[in-house]
Amino acid sequence: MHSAVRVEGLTKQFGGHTALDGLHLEVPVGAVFGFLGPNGAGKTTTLRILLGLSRPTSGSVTVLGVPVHEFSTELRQRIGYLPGDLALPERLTGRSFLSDLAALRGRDLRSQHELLAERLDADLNRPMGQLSSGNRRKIGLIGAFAPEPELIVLDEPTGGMDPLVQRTFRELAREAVADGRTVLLSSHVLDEVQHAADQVAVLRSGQLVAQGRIDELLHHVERTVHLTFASPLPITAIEHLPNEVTSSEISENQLIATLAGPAGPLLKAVAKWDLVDVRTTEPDLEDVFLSYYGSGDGAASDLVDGSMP
Amino acid sequence: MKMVIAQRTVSDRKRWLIGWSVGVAAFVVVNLAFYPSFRDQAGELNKMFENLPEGLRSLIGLGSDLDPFSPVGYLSSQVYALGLPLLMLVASIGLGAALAGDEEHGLLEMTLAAPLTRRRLILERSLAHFFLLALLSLVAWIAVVLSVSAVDLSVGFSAVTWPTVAMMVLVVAAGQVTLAIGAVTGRRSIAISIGSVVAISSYVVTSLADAGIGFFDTIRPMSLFTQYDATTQLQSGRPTAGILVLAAVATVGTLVAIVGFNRRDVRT
Repeated sequence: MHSAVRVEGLTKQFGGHTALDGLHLEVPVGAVFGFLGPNGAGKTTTLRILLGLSRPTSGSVTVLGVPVHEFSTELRQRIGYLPGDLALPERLTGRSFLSDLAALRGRDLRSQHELLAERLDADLNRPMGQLSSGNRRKIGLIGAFAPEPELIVLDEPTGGMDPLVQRTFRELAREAVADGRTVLLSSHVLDEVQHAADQVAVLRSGQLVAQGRIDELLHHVERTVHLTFASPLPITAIEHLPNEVTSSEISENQLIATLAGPAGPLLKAVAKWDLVDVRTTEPDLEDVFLSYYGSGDGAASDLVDGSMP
Repeated sequence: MKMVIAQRTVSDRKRWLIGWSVGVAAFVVVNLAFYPSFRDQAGELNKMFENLPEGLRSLIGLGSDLDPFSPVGYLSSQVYALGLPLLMLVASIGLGAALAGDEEHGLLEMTLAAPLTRRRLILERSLAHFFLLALLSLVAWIAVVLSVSAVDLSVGFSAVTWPTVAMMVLVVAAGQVTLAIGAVTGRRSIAISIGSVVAISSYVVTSLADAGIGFFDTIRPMSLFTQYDATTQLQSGRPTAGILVLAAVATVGTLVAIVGFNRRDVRT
């Protein structure tokens, strides 16, 4: 089985600026794949190359088994796309715009548009210039999902949308994947990807720094754990903490530990004291980035292999 | 396959078409309405014009040996030589620059990610521009035909037909040159600037060449206005070969647009 997207040694330069620097990426068929990275990491550049809107400086890119440099309309027939910086004709209604897009595919998708509009609570009747940015993105999402393409490429899909719509979006992505289709979505917000994606790739400065299952990646991200005990801890307690704890401090009956790895060993180590409460801060994307970016590429590739940094 | 892009380009410009139709018709009617009073004062005005330097006479559309108060001379100097084509050029250069404008606003992203080649996008939009400019030319032609009969300006039916056709091809050519610049650069402002410079410098070159200035006389064939040559067609009632030259310019512009757009990234 070939990959939905295979990117090898992809480099893209704009003038003197290198946006992508020898990127390797493989997106399996039938998955929701998250493409994470801070703004300017090269996510949008990569996605636009997949669509033929932009051309690689060097490297090879194959989408659904077809090299993109052939720019065939047949290939784009099999892809749906939501741009990150979505611009829509202001005076056109969502309905007219979507039927134009469908007609460019030689299809009539009106019933799908109505169905999706209902699920996403999108307004197809008003000129799109009157819609909020979140509501405009719904129109764009409908345009990407309605033709039921084999690959759906979404650049920052749910920015500006309320949580309910984000949930509908995740359902749509799940349904597509259940059909054996592939969803590739980019984001700089971990939350957007965390609940929707099976696998993620983390990008920094045009290079892949980590790729894997999202729970595995999060596992190794440093987060802070607050442990509260019934009575003050002895100072020596700190000496017996496992390797996963990268730093720790004791204040009265609290132990605050920075944890990179599974929590089990830490809990075992403190089990002999009377543990009252455990609180951890949810690792957010910044933590993910900091843990990868702060520790350098070597550590990041260790994470991909599943070993400890 | 339906021509989705062409249809949308036209239907997006309904208001544009109404506005320009009113403008073009009003320009023609107002200019021709003054014909009777100008004709009555022909003697005095002619004396005044004779004192003007030759170059200036050419620039204001009095360059030919035509009597500016003869029916053909008046139509030429007041409508076809400069005013009407200039108005139409503004319309066509604006249309030609719209592709780059859409690109700058990111409006081409979803369109070009759909199964549509860039060549087809350019061709359909060009076809739509041609259609719109042909309609505007038709409006101008109807306004001229009605006005000349109303003010008793005796020119033949065919005498105004060929200059109108030539004007349509002139503005289409300038529009396609503008489109080509926009497709190659992706910048609306550059497209508008270069399109306008081509149009205006063409007019200046032809006028100064008419005034007998040597240098301009040698580069005269390169001017779109030389090829347009409304006055000769008004006098003869027959088309000139310049129409074909302008059509060739429009074709080359379209081809350059396709090749240029195909060779580069869509701008973000």
